[in-house]
Amino acid sequence: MPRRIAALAAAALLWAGVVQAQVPVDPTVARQAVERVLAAWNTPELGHWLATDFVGRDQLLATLNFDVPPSARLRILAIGGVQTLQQERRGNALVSLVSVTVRAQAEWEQPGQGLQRREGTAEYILRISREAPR
Amino acid sequence: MQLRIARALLLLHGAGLALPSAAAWELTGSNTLRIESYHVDGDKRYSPYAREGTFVYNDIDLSLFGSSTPGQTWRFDFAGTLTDSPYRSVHSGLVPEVMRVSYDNATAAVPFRVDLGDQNVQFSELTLSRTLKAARLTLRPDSGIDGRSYWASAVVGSDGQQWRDFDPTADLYHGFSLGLQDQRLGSYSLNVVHNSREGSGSLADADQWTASLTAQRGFDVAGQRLNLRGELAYFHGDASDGRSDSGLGYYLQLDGKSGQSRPLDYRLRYDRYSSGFHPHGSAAPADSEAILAEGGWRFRQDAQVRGRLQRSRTGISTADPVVTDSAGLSVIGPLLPGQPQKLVGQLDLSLQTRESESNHVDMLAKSVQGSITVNHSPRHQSRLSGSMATVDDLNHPGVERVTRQFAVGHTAKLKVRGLDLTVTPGVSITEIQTQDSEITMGPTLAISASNERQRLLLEVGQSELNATDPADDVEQARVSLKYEIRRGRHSFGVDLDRTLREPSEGEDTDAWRAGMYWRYDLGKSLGGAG
Repeated sequence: MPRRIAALAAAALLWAGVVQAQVPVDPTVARQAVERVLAAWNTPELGHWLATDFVGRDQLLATLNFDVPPSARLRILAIGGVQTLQQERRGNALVSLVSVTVRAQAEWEQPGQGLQRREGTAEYILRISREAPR
Repeated sequence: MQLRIARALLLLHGAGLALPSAAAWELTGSNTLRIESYHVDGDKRYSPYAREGTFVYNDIDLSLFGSSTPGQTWRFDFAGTLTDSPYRSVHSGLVPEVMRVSYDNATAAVPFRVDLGDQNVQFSELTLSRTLKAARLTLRPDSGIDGRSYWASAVVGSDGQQWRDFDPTADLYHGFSLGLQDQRLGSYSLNVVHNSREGSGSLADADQWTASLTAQRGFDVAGQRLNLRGELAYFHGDASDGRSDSGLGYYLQLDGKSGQSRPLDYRLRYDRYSSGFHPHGSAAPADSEAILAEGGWRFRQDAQVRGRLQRSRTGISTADPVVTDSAGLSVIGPLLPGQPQKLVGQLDLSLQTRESESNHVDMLAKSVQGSITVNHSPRHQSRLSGSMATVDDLNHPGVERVTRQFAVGHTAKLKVRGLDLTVTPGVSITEIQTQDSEITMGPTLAISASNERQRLLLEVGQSELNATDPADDVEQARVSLKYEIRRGRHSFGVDLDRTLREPSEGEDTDAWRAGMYWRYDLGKSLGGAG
């Protein structure tokens, strides 16, 4: 069954067509998805992963542009709970909102000060589409 | 440790076995036992790992969905870990991470649903949109009219909490939402939310109310399928700094699609939030306004162009508001019309400025990124990518920062003795130019091999940072290896990760992480048809 990671999604009104998540997204798929998104953190490719309806989209990209060292990258320390929040059928696709909790640290080389690291835990909301027969 | 894991598993399996015998139930999930060891030689100050040692954790992920009688469904979710690893959790021992029970009854006189535990509560963008540990009741009374439905939902729940050390009153929400959805008239809702938050650090105690009206309606005009929605909210209560305040916030959004095959999509949006608008349940920034226009056109042969313009102003009630303007254009598509899959190009352009009224802040960021992918054959692909980004503080001439990146790689897919082998060698170069200049460059290699049962992934990277002061030069090497073998529902895997940092002066840092795991995947039908 082909799967597609659409984007990092934001809160949206999803009353219409929303059902109880009957087919939870495979946690392995969600983990691989969040690994791909976080590999693009602080690179020009991150914008491709951010949903257009993500409220903080431009704010996040501006912060990365202006405030974060350009060589900083994220190292995933552990991926915690994976939760399928909602599912909605759109045509031939089953669209799931999935919450993934990740412990990660930003690392960058600061000339004169050596390797710097900052650790944190964050919840990421992914929108994952799967082709599903009608 | 092992005994505690076994007990936890037995308890969870027991929950599944206590179900009604006539039910149709699906149990999914997995149990993963993992051992990891962290070891650092040399200068430990510059290790990527803060703690050394060997740590064990066991992740449990269970989901049970089923129907006790037709029209009545249950769902149970549990995810958690039993851990002594500081990398896995700030807690040790049993750490529940997700616990939820949902019951939906569509056959009651008033159909309803009950959700207990972790859940995403999305009343509206401006009142409550948070993942809470909560109890929620949603009623869906029958409207008696085709195409129309009503709902009423009440929630009480806590934000930012973990089940360990759970303090429900630390950041507590009470909310109520009432709405209707009609195929012709659209969707409308009324939302009222109360939040009380205990102060910590620099944050004061806060007690606040937010109420809002939302409206959404779709309609067709001149071949355009349009969707108009908006929200108007009023806030009264304490801001995070304890100051009592009140204010209005609203947004209006129009999105649409055009044409028979809908190749054009677009969106216009305006947001405005007063200086007294501080709802904790929303991401709306107080004292700001924003206007956004974006659109895209999808051509045949997978070509697409998208553009985006946004202006946001913060601190709009102050004497020195800050304006951030963003513009972006993205184009992707085949470069050879006769062979659309042969050569695919992508170009992204973006421009961002941040400027305050007094010019105290005056920043400019520009970036251009492009890539060309050459599909030589189904088994061979080459990719060239490059980008240049400039960040300039216009108040301080000479501190412009230019980042240039270039990468080239080739992917070869081979079949060797039943194995699907993918080899991706490449080179990447990054130059960051400020008053000083530093260049990081080096080769990369990724190899993956897999068949139905096994998967191997090897990634190797080496880079050299040449700083302006040669004393700050650093060489880095990173190797990571992942291997997994599956036998039925069992998977066994090994992870290795090595990071070597060699400054030109001082001691090297050689950091290792080695892990192995066993995962058991569940997927079981537990009963007959209900």
